[in-house]
Amino acid sequence: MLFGLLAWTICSLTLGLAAYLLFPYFRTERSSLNLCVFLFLLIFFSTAYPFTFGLLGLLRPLPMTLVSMFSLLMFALFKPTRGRLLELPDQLRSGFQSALDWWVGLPRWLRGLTTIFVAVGALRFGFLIFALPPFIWDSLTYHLTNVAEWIQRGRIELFETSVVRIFNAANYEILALWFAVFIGHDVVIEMAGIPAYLLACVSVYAICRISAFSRPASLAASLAFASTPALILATTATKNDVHMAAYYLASLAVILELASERQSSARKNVLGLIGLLIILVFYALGTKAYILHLLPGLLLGALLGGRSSVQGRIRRWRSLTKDGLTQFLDLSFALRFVFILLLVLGVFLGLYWNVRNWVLTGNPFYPYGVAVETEQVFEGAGKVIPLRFSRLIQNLKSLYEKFGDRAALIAADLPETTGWGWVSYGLGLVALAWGLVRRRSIRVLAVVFSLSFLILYMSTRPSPWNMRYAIWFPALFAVALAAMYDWMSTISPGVFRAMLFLLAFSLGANVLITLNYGRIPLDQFRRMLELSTLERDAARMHVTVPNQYETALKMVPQDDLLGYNVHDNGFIYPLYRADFAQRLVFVALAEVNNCADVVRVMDQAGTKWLFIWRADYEKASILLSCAEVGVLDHVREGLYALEEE
Amino acid sequence: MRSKKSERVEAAILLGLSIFLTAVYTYWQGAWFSAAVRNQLGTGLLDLLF
Repeated sequence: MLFGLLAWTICSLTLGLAAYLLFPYFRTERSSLNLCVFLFLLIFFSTAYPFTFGLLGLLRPLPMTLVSMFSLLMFALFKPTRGRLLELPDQLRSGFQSALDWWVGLPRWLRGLTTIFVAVGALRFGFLIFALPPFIWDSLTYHLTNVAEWIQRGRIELFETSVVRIFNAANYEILALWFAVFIGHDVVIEMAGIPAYLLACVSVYAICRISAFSRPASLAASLAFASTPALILATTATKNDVHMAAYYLASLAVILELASERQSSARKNVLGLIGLLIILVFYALGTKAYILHLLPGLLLGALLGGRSSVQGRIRRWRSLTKDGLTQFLDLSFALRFVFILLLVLGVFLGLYWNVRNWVLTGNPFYPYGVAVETEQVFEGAGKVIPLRFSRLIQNLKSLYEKFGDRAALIAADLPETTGWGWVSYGLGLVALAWGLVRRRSIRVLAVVFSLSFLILYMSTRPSPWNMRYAIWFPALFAVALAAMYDWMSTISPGVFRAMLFLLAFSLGANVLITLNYGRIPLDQFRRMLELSTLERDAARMHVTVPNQYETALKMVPQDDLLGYNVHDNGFIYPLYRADFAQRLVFVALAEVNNCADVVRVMDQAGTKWLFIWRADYEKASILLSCAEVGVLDHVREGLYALEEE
Repeated sequence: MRSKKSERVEAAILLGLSIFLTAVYTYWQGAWFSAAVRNQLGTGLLDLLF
């Protein structure tokens, strides 16, 4: 563990310095956007680095650390990078001074509120990350199953299992690797959502500043969005929705900055912003394909941003492209090469999963089929993702039932709720209605968000949990709140103060309701806290995972190969154990018709153990009958072992 | 150009609406939350007693 921590520190330092060295490519004159850029570069490198090692079959702490140390040496020896590194202390000092000036310039009450919010948020995140193992359904079926299997193999590749969703695009899973591969344990794997949470909140701040709202109003909006229950719950849920929210909002901030007419395009870092936008969108595509549904909204934002006529805006984008090209040609050959390399890496990370699926199955979106209205475009493995107007109607009806979060308690996975929370449904709704009438920038954003939302929900299945795909939407309420904040602060001090009290109350209520995930019983908390931090296995917390996982792991020696067969939406991850020590093998039962077949498939898989959970009823009956005649030992519920001959 | 007075009235109406909607939301979601807390505390107390 100590070597792992050291290796993680060295590799993180290397990636941090690489982000610093490449930061000038994307630097803008807006500090909030610069923070977005830096956060995204850290996320991007923390994905690209293990991804490269994973594809080469070298996903182990030692090779990653050796390459990092070599890179650090190169940074120090290579003259241009050494020069930049020598500037680092001055850069840090001036950055700290700017942050301090920004902080001192804020109203005292807002500083107080921010301090409390950040402190409570950090304590809450920290406590939940360390106290509880991963427990969200999809994580335990495929997200973290990929992570565990890749760590065991030291290689990123497909493997045979019953859950076909392991084919899904998996940039999030690779980022999650960064939080587990070095220490060989999942104790902090929930942290993989934190960088995206920060990026989403800073992006909201940047969108507000680009829309010309004041710093205090923008910070209030950012806090409002940061407190959204759906967002907070998703952050440590070991899923990719918070990442999608972050990349959508960051892309929108970049587009609005490009479209803004505040300064001439020649003075902007157009090349850097366009490059960043390309990498962001592709990276999001490699995280979850629904960025394709959100793109039309973003494109509309590009057309509607700024104040000139439509023709003027089209002319502006032409001129931006031209300026970007000129800025590219002005770069030295070496810098051009590095810039193109970054773009290629971004595109590769974006397209890898879909291209792989296309090559292997003939469908880039496998396991999902794709249909537009009634026409099937790609065949999948069961589920079809359509683009249908009728589905939108179903989803809007479903949204009506969830609207106001009146049907259920907000919990992780958002069953029957939107999870938008107190600020959105109180101040946010009113601010949005006001902003639609009084502020053009809010009208533009409302159209952008609505278009993305409507197209997304032409495809999404109208399930009780489907609002988790739209956790970026409350950002619209937050930005509208910033507009109303600025206006109210100049109109009526009394009303403004009352609004601030209401905001503070709403933030507090949002945080209060998410202290727990809304579904962890106290006895499970107590049980987890009684275990040492490293013993908190996903199999031991019985919120979604049934008891038989824990009992099975008690019976099967850690060094034995454990065969399993779960249904196509069943949990696999808990069987790996928290330290990824248990090796697993999928035992296919499809061809099994009698006890001889059972023995044969288990022998072929090389295991004497077979764990089943919600397997096919007929096959489960065969296993039971094999236990009755003494071919198998029915060790515990769901666990069988081959009888010794 | 609107007068300052009409803007102040508008601000007061917006505040009133916000308070009303916050109260409605608290009634809906707060009820679920307090029920969950009551259930949890109840279970916890039973555990302690028996």
